[in-house]
Amino acid sequence: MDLEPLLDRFRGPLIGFFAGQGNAPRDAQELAQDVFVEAYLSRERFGGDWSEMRAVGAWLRGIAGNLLHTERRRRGRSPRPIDDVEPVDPDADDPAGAVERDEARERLRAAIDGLRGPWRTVLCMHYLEGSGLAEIGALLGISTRAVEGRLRRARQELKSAIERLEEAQR
Amino acid sequence: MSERHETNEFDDDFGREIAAVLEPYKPDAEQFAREVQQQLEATETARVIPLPAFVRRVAAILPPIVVPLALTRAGVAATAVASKKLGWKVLPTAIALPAAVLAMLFVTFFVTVRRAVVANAHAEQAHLAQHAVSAWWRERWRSTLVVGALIAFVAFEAPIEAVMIVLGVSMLCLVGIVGALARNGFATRREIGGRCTYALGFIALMGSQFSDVAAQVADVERDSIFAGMLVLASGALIVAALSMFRTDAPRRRRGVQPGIGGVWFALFTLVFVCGERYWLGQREVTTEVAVQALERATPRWDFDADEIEGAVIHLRAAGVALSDLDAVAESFRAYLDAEFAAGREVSPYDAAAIERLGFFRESDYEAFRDDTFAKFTIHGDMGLHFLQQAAFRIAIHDRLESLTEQQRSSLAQRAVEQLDDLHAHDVLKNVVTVIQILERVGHEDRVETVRDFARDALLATWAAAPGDWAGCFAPGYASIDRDEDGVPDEPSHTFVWLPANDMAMRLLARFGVPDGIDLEALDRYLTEQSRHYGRTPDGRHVLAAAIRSHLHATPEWQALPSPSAWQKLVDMRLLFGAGLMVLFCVVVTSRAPRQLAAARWSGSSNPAAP
Repeated sequence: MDLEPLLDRFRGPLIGFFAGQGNAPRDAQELAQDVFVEAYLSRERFGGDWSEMRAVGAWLRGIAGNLLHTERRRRGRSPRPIDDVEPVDPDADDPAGAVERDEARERLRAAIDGLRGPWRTVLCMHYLEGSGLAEIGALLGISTRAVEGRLRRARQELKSAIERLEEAQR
Repeated sequence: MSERHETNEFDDDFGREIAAVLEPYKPDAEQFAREVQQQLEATETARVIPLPAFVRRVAAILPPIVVPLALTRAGVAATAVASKKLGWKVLPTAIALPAAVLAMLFVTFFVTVRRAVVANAHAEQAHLAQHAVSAWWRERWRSTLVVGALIAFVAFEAPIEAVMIVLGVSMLCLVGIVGALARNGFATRREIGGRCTYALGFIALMGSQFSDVAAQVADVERDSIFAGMLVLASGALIVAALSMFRTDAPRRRRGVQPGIGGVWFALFTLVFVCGERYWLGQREVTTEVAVQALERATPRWDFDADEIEGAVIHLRAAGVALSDLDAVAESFRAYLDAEFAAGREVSPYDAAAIERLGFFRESDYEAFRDDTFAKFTIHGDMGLHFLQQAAFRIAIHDRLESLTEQQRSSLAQRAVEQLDDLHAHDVLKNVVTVIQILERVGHEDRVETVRDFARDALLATWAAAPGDWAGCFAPGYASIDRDEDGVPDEPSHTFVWLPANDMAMRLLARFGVPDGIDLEALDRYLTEQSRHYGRTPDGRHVLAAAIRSHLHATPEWQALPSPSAWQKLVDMRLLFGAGLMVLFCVVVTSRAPRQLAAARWSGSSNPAAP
């Protein structure tokens, strides 16, 4: 078993999966790392073909689900919204423009946070590292076309939510 | 439609805005891979390099079913990995849970104490301990409640044998799980052996210290408990030696040899167990010791006159020759002379006992002359309302003046008439006193008339419910707490009641044992009362031993069936249990690796290397 291709393919979708469940950035990354460690340690129990992406995705999905369940029990609280995280400010050199962009970004962040779980998860899985739809589908156990449909629907929902937020702010 | 085409559809300005919002989640790919690799290496290292000593000590007591999740979260990955690799089955884990619950209660206590003691010096360990314990309770409090309730229910409702079997099997399961851990390289032989040594020693110390309670709870003889504790202490020494000398760990040239503490502890335990049995603890007064003590007794200092009289009566009734009571006689003489010289009134109870023992001189009778008693009771027809004093006065005046047959008959009649209340306090003493009066006035033939009353009085004062471990006679019917049906509802075998048992034994010997009196329970009570601390026994210990000798000489006792072979085996169950426990500890220790084993999983040593 070679771990490196797994990391390249599923790192982004997995972190996005945990982020979409409301975990903080560092927690999401650590949980994703735990998935890879656990997958490697228990690789003898994997009965499929390592080159078969959907089989590997199902294997990782099971481990991720268990870890997520354990983590929620351990914390004993509901998922933390995405807007709790400390944002990175790439426009620190342009204070005037930064304010306007910050407002737009705040609205976007709030809108993502307000999305229903499946839309938020698929958005995070795709846009975190620009991961392919096939990997996302393998992890979620749905077809690539279904991922595409969810992503499209998630973007529409997100735009509508942003518009509602803008109207509310006016 | 290709995947790339589909992806591009979403890779617009809006998508880039979303990606920017998610930027904090985006990892550095190389850093991410490095951390995965480090985590794998750390897990592997934890299997090769010994875990922190504290973690291993806790885990040696409480296997992964109990401890590890919190420790895993605290950075010690090996425990969780070990539990997964060992593949615990559900059944042994469930069976081991009662023992684990009890063990966890102990650990909670010790961890709490330890935290209080070493909180400043070992903050990291204290934190780990706190974390482990609180995580255990948090995750298992429901099961613990259920198991605790079951243990309480079983303990109160089920026979003690069932409780012992359940806990024994549970403990064996726990030991087995710990042993499996050891074989899988979780801890070294020295660590497992050390825990076993302290566990065996602790049980042996507690068993020796609380052998009274253990004897009652387990319904076994003290000698059986001592044998069991001796096996445990010896086993602790064997295991300590096994864990200390049969390891591959390098011997230190300087300083304390590792594991020597366990050997010293086991030696201390062995000495304590033997010392508790032979020197420090309670010792049982045998018939021989009772005779020797009686021959050296000093009345009114360590013996009462009643106790000496009772002991002499019972020992003689048991066929024991008391050749030398000169010391007692001289002491009584000195006591009486001193009281007479000082003009003090001698207690009639003491004087009566001394008189019955035959230590009175003729002049002593004159000193206790009571003309008022003679006028109204001997020459008159006043009732014998104060039986014991009356008996003494009758004995005095029988010696001082020759009583007529009419007076003797009248006194005998009035004495018997006093026995009209079965529930009177000191009813057994009253019966014995009446018999003494009848014998004194030469009407032994009337003794048979009090037989039924005496037997009823014995039953009325018997202070044990059927099945009680020990039983004794109380001074009166009202001395005993009873349920609505009149059955004693709580055993209370106090030493204060020993005089009542002195009287009861005299009546049992004379009138036989009524149905409902458990002689073996009485024997256990008398045995307990004959135990004493220190070099020499007091009067009550000697009296209890004398009563017991008398009991063993009765035909009813000798007619009791001897225990069956099965019963003898059952009586030795503590010994077998102790031997089994030692055997398990020896096996678990000897099968533990001398050094921590390498990781069981194999494969690429650098699985995530970029």
